[in-house]
Order: sequence, then structure tokens, then C-alpha cells
Amino acid sequence: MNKIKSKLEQLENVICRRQDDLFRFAYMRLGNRADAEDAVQDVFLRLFRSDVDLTRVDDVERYLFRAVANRCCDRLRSRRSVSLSVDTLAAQPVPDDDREIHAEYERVAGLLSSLPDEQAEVLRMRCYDALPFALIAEITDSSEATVKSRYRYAVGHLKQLLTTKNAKQ
Amino acid sequence: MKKITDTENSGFNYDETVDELNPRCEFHASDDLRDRIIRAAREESASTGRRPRFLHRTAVWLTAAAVVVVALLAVNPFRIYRAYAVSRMFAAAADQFGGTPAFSMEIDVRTDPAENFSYIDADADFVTHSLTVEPYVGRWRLEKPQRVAVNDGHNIWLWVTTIDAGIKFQPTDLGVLEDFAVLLDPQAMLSREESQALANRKAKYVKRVDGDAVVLTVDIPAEGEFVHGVGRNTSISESNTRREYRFDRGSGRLLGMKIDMLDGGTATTIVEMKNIVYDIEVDASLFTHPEDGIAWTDLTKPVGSDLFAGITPEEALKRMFAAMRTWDTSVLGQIITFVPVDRFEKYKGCMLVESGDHFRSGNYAGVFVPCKVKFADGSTEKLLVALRNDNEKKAWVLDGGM
Repeated sequence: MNKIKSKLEQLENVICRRQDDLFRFAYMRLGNRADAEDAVQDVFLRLFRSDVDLTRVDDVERYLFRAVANRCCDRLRSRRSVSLSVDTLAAQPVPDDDREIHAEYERVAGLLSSLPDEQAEVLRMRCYDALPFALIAEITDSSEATVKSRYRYAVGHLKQLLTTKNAKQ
Repeated sequence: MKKITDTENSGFNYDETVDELNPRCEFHASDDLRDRIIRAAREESASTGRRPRFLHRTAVWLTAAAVVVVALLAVNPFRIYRAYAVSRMFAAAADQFGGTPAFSMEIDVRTDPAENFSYIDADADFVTHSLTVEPYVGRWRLEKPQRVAVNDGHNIWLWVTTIDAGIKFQPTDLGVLEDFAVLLDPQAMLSREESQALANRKAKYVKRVDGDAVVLTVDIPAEGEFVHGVGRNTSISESNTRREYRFDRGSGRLLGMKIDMLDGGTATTIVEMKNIVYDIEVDASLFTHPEDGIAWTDLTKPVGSDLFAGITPEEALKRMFAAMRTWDTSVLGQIITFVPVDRFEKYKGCMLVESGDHFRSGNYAGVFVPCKVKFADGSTEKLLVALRNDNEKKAWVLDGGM
């Protein structure tokens, strides 16, 4: 029982340290609080059930971001399977407390919308989630060189887009 | 929130563009998210929860490993399956177990019919175990020819049919089942494999299609220390192993699992889970224990006494054999708690001649103390005594036989 108590305390420490980062990570992909927090909760519970040593920060971080990324993919896939369109999602009311973060989600989604999914995801993870390239490579099951290459293309593409946009203004 | 201002090792400077993608506001999870997660985790930990979890030291068997993986991968025609996709296979199979009210399976294990459930011997014949589980209720029955364990929803009852003796445990004390505890909750087992796929960079996965099944082979480097060699290859967690999972291609359900022990260049199948039947109806009498004819030892009360607390295992051993010599059952009963004292009557009157330093081995929670005893008739015997003190009082108790 002491082991379980100790593991619960360790879990609580990890949650305190990482819940906001993971929530942001999930929200920026799913676009609403309920789904994002469901994904985060599910991942923390899976972490608790797993054999990952909760005192090993590197292992835990790697696990958490990979697992949340997976959950988000699952959720997005299940949305597609029930034919829930982006327009339908956008039409869902946003609670007052979440207006700011939802606007941020839409701003970034808009910026990245013209990029291929792989490039957009690398850019989001690197710039928005501040993840190192090595971890992004693990999460996306790509080599670090591929990730950096996608990053360069994505930033170059985005720079071109912003330049054109500014010129029009 | 960390702000990215350069392109870290990418060789380009795109500061302005990257600035556009830096967060412009703070994200905060709901105030009660942490409490919700902790509450759910606590409920899972408690056996009285809606869906009991079986996470004890025994769970480590699935972190066992293979040594010939490099050679295998160099010649095998299958592609190394990506951890990302692998984790999904495990997650899908885990969900299937989550949705079934009861399931049964057969498990063939190379072991002795009367030994502990965790005991394996690659040279022994297969012994078929039958397992029936009601995951949401928390009841199960595990049986092999001479040993039965039942969780009736309140306690675990384990008895040996050949000696008509049994033990009653707290339902949380799944250490009694050792590695088999993992099989009682395949959903957790598969979730753990999923987490390995996500977290363990050393894990290797090979997938192949075999008719209507997808076969996934898992190799993960071994854990555990075996400086003294004791314990190696005597349980699944303490062996180099390879796991092979068979999933139904259509439904994603787990069809079976096989564990090979890898000893040097030889692979021997030691455990095979098969004939998994989902969504079965179970007769409640399966989860009952015999009321008569079995001498029950109740271990639901706290284990360990002050007499054997706060001393070294060597001192505990000396104290135990001092009591053996005079057959002081009031003392012996404080260290021999898992079985009736009279099971050790063979050692009545014997004397401790010498003892060595204790040591640990593998994943075993206790220690081993080598020693030599002399019987009343002058004969001697070398023993390796297993003692453990992972109880509330930190008191040493004899674990198993000698």
C-alpha cells in the first residue's frame, strides 16, 4: 500500500508540473477543453498504470507527450469517422473562460492551415510546445534529420506566406 | 512558457516567422483536473474500485527481454514495426478486454503442478492453467492441477489440493500470484505494453500477418540484477524473454500470447496463453472456496512481529534457528507466518552451524541468506533461506520453504 501511496504522490507531482503544458498541447490540436482534458486525464492514468519510473523525468516527459499526441490523433480520427466537419466544430459554443485560448487556437490553426500536416505538426511542436527536435522525432516516428528538414520547409513556407500577406496589407 | 527564438540546430534563422507561432496567452487546465486524475488513480488502486487494477511488483514480467534480437532482425523478412502504430494495436486490444464482462483462457506453463504460480522451469513439461476473470467485479479463479487461487470479491483464497492447506489474503495482496497477477488484467497488461512502446526507446517490434491474425513480436532489454545468479530463469520476470502476441486482424482482439525464454542461443516457449473466450457467462460457484477439509491460515491481518523487526536478516535467521532447536513455536510463529509452523517440523531440534551474508537477486523483494544446519542425528544440510520484510513493521518473515 505504501508503494501505491508513494506512486500517487509522484503522479501528483508530475501532474502539477506538466498538466498545463499537456493541456495546451492537446487543446492546440483538438480545439476544445473537454476533449483536451479527457486526453490529458487518460494519459496520466495510463502513466500511473504503466511501469514508467515516475521519478525519471526524461522518461516521463517522453511518455507524456507521445501519449497525448497519440490520444489527439485517435480523437481526431474518431471525429472524422462520425463525419464531424471543422465547420461543425467551429460552430460549437466556446465558454467565456476559454475565449482567449480558443482564439489563439484558431489563430495558429489559420497560420498552419496551408502547410502539409507533417510540417504543420513539427512547427506546432517546436514553436508552440517548445519541444526539442529529438523528442519531436520520437513522437512523429521520424528521424531527427527529417524533422529538421520539415521544420526548415515549414518555416520557409510560412515566411513566404506572411511576406505576401504583409505586402497585400 | 518557453519561447522559441531561434531555430536550434536547423542552420536557419527565422526568428520573425517563428515569433508568429510563439504562444500569446497562457493555457491552464481546469482547477479540478488534478483532483479528478488522482481520484481516478486512487480508485483504480483500491480493489474495491469499479475496475480493479493489479499493479504490484509482479507486473515487471512484461519488462523482461531478449538477447538475440539484433541477430534476428538482421535476417528476418519482417519490417520493424513503428512504436507509434504498435501502441495503437495494444491500445485497441486493451479496449476489447475493457468491454467484456467476463472472459476465460487457458495458459500452458512449463512448471511443477504444485509449485508457486510464478515458478517456471524450462526443462519441465507444460502444465495447463485455467483462468476465468470478471474484470469489472474483480472476481477471478486461477487453477492448475494441484493449486487453486480464487478472488471472491472480498479476499483471495489460495490452496494446495495435495496437502489440504490454504491461505487467505487481502485482495490487494496479489504478490501471492506473482507473475500471474498480470494475466488477471489483460487490459492493464496490454496498456503496459502500449506504454513500453511509447516510452522505451530500446524496445523492438516485429509484425507479420498470419492468415486472419496479426502477429507482433516484442523484445525489450532485460531488467534486474543477477550478480549471484539465484533467481535467474526461475520466473518470467527474471528471465530473458520474447513475447509474441496474436491479434485478430478484423476486431483487434487478442487471440493469444506466447513467451519464449531465451537462454544463450536457445529459445524455449515457457508460457502460452490460448483459447481466449470473451463475453462468457460465469457460474458464481466458480469464485467460491472450500469451507471444509482445508486448513486455512488467515493472512489478512498484519504480518510481522517486533521480535524480528529492527535486526539484520542474519540475526533474524539465528533467532529463528535458536527457536527451532528448542521448538519454541511462540517464537517460530512470529517469523513463519505464511504457512503453519508444523510444516517445518523436519527442522525441530536442528542447530545453525554457519551462515553467510545475505544478498538480493533479480526482482525478488526479499533477501536470501545461505546457511548450514546440523540435525539431531548429526547430518547436515545447506540451505538458502528467503526472508522478506516488506511489511508495515519491517519485520523479517520466512518466505516459502527453505
